[in-house]
Amino acid sequence: MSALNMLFAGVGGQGILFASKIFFEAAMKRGDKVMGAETHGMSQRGGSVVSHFKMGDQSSAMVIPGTADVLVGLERTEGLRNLEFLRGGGIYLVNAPDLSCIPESAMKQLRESDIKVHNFDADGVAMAKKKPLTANLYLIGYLCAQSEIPFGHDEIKETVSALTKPAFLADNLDALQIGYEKGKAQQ
Amino acid sequence: MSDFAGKTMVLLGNEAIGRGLVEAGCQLAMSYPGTPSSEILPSFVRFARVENIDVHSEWSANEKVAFEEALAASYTGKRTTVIMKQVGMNVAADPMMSSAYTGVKGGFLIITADDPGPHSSQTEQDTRMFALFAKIPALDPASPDEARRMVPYAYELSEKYEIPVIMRPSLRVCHGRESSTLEEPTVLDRPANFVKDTHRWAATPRYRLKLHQQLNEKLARITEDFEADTTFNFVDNADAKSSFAIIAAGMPYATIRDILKEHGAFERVPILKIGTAFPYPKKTIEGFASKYDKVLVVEEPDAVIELQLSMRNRVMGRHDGTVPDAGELTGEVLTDVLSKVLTDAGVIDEPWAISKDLREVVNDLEIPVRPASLCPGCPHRSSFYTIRKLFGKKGIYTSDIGCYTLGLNLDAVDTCLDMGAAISMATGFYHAYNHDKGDIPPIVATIGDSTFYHGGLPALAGAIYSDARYILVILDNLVTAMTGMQPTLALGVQADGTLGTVLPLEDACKGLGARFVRVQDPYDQDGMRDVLKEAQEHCRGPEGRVAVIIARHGCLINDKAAARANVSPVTINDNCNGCGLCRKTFECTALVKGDPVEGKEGRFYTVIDRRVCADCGQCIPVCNRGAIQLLEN
Repeated sequence: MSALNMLFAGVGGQGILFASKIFFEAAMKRGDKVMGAETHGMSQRGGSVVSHFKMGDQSSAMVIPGTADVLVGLERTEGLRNLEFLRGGGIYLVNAPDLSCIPESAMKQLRESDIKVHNFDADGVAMAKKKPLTANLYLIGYLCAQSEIPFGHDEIKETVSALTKPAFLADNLDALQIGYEKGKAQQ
Repeated sequence: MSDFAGKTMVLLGNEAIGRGLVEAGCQLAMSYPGTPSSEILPSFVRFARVENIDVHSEWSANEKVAFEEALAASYTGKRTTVIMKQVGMNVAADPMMSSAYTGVKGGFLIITADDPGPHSSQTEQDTRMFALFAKIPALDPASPDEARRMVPYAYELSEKYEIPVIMRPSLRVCHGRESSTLEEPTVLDRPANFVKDTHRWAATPRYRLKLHQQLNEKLARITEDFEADTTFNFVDNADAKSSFAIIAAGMPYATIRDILKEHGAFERVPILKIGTAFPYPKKTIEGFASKYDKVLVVEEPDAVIELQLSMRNRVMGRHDGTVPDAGELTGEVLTDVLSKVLTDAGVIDEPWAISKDLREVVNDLEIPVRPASLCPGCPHRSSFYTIRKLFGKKGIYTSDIGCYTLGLNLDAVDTCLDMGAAISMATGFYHAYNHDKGDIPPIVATIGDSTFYHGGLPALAGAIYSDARYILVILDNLVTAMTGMQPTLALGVQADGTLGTVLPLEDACKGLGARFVRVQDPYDQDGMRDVLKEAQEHCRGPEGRVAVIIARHGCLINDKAAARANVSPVTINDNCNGCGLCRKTFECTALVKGDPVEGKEGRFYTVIDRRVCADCGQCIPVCNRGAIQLLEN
């Protein structure tokens, strides 16, 4: 069993909990030990939300700063706010059309820490298709294409299918597929 | 046979506790919702239903009521529980203190969720302190699955000594997720059988002394049980050669393990993990501590084990400043604490090269904290906007605990203290100003529908009786929204979804003697303004009393019909001059800064954030220049 710590950061309403739930289910299916936690402010909508995902022999449900293998910034400011969770050599994937959303000082430090920075305009693609709520699945698809992630595309696809209501299934799988292809191309 | 026993599931801590209650044979559960405890009761209901076990569950009027109901049920021999958040225990403190003396018959578990941080509470109070104060045994789980496993143990303890037992999971246990392998439910065949014993159940002071002595005897025997326990109290790395050790409890224990493992120092540090917080397992703790020169105690939110440790010269913790004396013990905080302490103790040669660089870079960016704000489309925003616009700066605005505390962003909330205080504090303000026989400023109390039934009823009775005169706006969004959409007494829906009796807010207010009771949809801002004016005239008139306005409009998150009923998408037209008044006075996260106004520094045009806008159209009247208008197709 490989250990993996991931963090999904964004704002309420972006489907952050669903994103982490996909990985919980996929890991459970394999029989891996998982833990996790969600943190959110007082707001029902629009507040900062972070979901922690931990796999492997660990005790605490929270990712400790400096130990995340992956950080997904579903919203660019929230991604930035949580950079300190990343470990050296980790992956930062941000939902943005380009990397101009990362200030130069942070970019320099990310490079020095050997962190691989990816951007993908999931919001843009999802909005263009008039399905703004599928942005999370584009990002997950993208993530699965990265060799460092111990989950395969088919495995995640199967989990998404099991967790999605029939009415949204086609849209979700479409987003996952497009994200995956984009991620493969950027490998 | 259960379909669930033997299955492994990833459960939220609160779901795991709900499952634990079913596995322990709990028959009646009472609760008042409060973060981070709110998911426990629904989980209990759900697991009982799928296991075909008949249970009684209840969202009670408040924690005191919930406590007394569950306690009485335990007097009949049934296994019962009362579930609340830590400040709920303040409300339930009266019966709790007394219940330690009377004891119980059937197992009685008090589940109280603590909130180190605090993240969604008024205080960082430690329930274990309450346990010391009330002399009630307390258990402190360190993970979701341990919390589940503690529940049956708590019931056995409670029945063995006929004593209430507290379990206090903290926020990260409640809202953490962990895989749990479920066990068989327990189904008890225990009909209610209340055996009278007035010297116990209705004891007078003379018998209370006897009960106190009996309580002390029980605690002495429980101490021995706790000292013998190896399930929830145990030592990691007992053989490590070290002059330094750690005593840890609850969530910080889990965090410390992960930090030490991350840095490869785990095997070098003996750690005593304590799950039985009170009564103090002295032999276990002091026997362990006596083997080392220095012992770091890590617990939260307060110092309870540390306080009781008699070997003061060995103890490091919150009292000597080694551990911060307020705030959550996060991974970040504990990494810093351990790095320093382990270096000083010679366990590691030099402080860990913690990658603080990213943290510092991000700190330097000074990313603004995303302020908590009422949701776009929230009917409370419309109420607050109208109230503030009518009564202005002069008004005194008392408010209460709920989403609507965020009315402070609209300058329409001046006080927030505890559940129900909006009404009693408005009464206090009225009498203070009335005492001077001069002008009384407009006073408007705002309170939510659920909070009104929780703590507002006696406050309103007192206000009417004492002839206080002010406006009381009950913000009725038809649900307990902030804690995750539980039904209120006014809805008549019970915790298991079945129908109870509807208690209309207007009937309650009229019954308590209010003469002016009006229901108004706050989305109709003109109507709301008119009724507020009438209410003010009423309370300043000769026959005036507290004037009650029930501002009724469903919470958009909960009530999809309410969300669809008023679709009025808006746009900003060329009249916008970038004054920013709409963003300031209406304070909606869908009204955001756009392009800067040329030639006017610091001014920005307003734009609508389509991603979050609820299309409620409530911001249209806000702009004096008519710059916010309906979007034409």
